[in-house]
Amino acid sequence: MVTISSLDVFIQVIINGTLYGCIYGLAAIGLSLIFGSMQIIFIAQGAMMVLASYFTYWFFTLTSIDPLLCFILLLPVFYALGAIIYRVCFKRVARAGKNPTLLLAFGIMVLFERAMALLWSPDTRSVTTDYTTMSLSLGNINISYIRLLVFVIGIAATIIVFLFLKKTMWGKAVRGSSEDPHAAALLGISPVKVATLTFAIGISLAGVAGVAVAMSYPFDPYFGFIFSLKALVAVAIGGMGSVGGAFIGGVLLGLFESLGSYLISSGWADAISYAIFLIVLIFFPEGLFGRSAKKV
Amino acid sequence: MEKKLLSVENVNVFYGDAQAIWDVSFHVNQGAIVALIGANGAGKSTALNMISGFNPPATGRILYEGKSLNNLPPEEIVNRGISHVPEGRRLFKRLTVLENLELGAFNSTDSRKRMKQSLEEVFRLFPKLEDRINQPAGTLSGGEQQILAIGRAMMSQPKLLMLDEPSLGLAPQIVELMFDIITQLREKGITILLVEQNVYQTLRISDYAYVLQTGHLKMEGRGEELLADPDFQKTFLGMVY
Ligand SMILES: Nc1ncnc2c1ncn2[C@@H]1O[C@H](COP(=O)(O)OP(=O)(O)OP(=O)(O)O)[C@@H](O)[C@H]1O
Ligand SMILES: [Mg+2]
Repeated sequence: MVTISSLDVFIQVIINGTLYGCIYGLAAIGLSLIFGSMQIIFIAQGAMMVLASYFTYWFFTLTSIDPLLCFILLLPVFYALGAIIYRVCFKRVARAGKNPTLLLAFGIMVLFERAMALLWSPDTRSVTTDYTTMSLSLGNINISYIRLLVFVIGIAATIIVFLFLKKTMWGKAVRGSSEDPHAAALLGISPVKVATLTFAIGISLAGVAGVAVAMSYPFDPYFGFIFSLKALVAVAIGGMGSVGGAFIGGVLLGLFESLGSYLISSGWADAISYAIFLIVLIFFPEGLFGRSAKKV
Repeated sequence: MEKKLLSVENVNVFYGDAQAIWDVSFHVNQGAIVALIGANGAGKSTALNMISGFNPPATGRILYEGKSLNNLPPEEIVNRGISHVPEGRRLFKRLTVLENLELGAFNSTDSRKRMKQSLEEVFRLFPKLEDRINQPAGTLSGGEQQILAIGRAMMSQPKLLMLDEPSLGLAPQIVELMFDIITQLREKGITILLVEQNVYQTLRISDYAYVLQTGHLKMEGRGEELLADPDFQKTFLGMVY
C-alpha cells in the first residue's frame, strides 16, 4: 500500500517515469517508421542517438552553443545522414530480406560505436548547463525543466510526424507504400524515394532523442544500445508501424520501469521491461494498440 | 486510319531463368478495347507488368505513342499516361477511400494540380464512392473495391487503362456492371487493354482480342471471328462450361 506520506514520492516516480519514457518514445517512433515501411529493424537507432548526444556535447563544450539550439541545428544533419545510410547501405540489401538487413543494422551500430569510442574516448560525458538542475516545484513534487522539455518535444515530434503521415501527399504515400509497396509503385510512388524519406525522418528523430539524452543523462559511446532495445520494446507494445502507438509504448515502458524499480527494487527495471516485451510479443503480437489481424 | 497507341513487338520476358513470354507481338489502337485472354499461367499479368515497367522484356520493343517504353522506370510510365489496375485490386485497405484516390494522383505535379477535377470526374462516374470517402477501403464490398481500384487508376487521367481481371471474384450481376463500366470508360475516350478469363463477355465488348497460351500468342482476331473459330471453341469454350 502507498501511504499518504509517500504519495508525493509516488507521484514523483510516475512523472519521472513518464518523462524518461518520452526518450524511449522518440527513438521508438523512428524505429517504427523504418520498420513500417521497409521491414528493417534498425538496431543502430541508439548509436545514432548517441552520435547526436556527442554533437550536442561538442557544440556545447567547444562553442558553448546552447544544447536547445542543437534540436534545430542537428535536424538537417541527421535527416541527410538517414538518407545517406539508406542509399549507401540498405537500398541494395533491402531486397535480400530481413536477416541481412538486421545484420547490416547491427554492423552499422558496431561501426558507429567503435568510431565514437576511438574519436572521443570511451569516457562518460555529460552536458551541464545553467538550467540543468533547475526544476519546477509543485508542493513537494519536483519536475526538472529539462525532463519537462523532453516531454513537450516528444509530444510535438509525435504530432508533427502524425500530421505529416495523415495530411501530406508524401505522408500518405509512406502509409500506402508500407501497406503494399507494389501497388504504390504502380501509381508512380517510387519505393526508393519513400524508403529514403522514412529513413531520413527516422534518423532525424534519433537525432532529437540524442540531444534530449545529452541534456538529461551522462552517456558514453555504448549508451545507445539499451535505447535501441527499449525502443524495440516500445514499438512492440505500441504495434509495429503505428507512430502514436510507438510513442505511447515508450512512455508506458518508462512508467513501468520506474514504478517497478520503486515498488520492487531498482535492479528490476530492465528485467521488467524485457518481461513486458516477451508478454506483449507472445500474447499481443500486433501490439496493445495494434490493429486486429490484418489480411495477408 | 486507326492510330496505334501501344505496340508490343516480338517481346521475350523472363522471371530469372524461366521464360514466361515467348516472341509475342500485339497492339492497341487509340480508343479501342483490346483484350488479352488465356488460361491461368498464360502470361497475361506478366504482359501487363512488362508494359508498366516492372518486368521489362529481355528482347523486343514496347512502343507507346511512337516512343520506346523499354527501359523506363514504372513511375515514368505512369507519367506517360498508362495506368495499371493490378490483379486482386491491391487497394490500400487501411487508407480511406479518399486517400486511395488521392494517391492515384501522386505520380506528377500535373496530376496533383488536376486532383480536384479528377476527383469530380471519378465521383461522376462512380457516385457510390463519394458517399464513402472517409471509410477505410478494406471495408468496401468486392465490387466497390474493384470500382475504387479503377477510380484510383483514373486519377492520373490516363490515356491507356490496363485492367487485370477486373471481374475476378465478383458476383454475376456485379460482373455485368463491371463490363458496363469498361464500355462506359471507352466512351469517355479512354483506350483499354483488358485481361480477362470471362471469355464471352470480354469478346462481346472488345474490338479485338489476342489469345495467349503458356506464354505464346496462339490466336488473334475480332470477337465474332474468334467465337466462330473451331480451334478457339475447342480450347476456350470447353473451359467455360
Ligand atoms: N514472380 C514470378 N516469378 C516466377 N515466375 C512467375 C512469376 N509470376 C508469374 N510467373 C510465371 O509466369 C507464367 C505466367 O504467369 P502470369 O501470372 O503472367 O499468368 P496469368 O496469365 O496472369 O495467369 P492468371 O490467370 O492465373 O492470373 C506462369 O508460368 C507463372 O508461374
Ligand atoms: Mg494474372
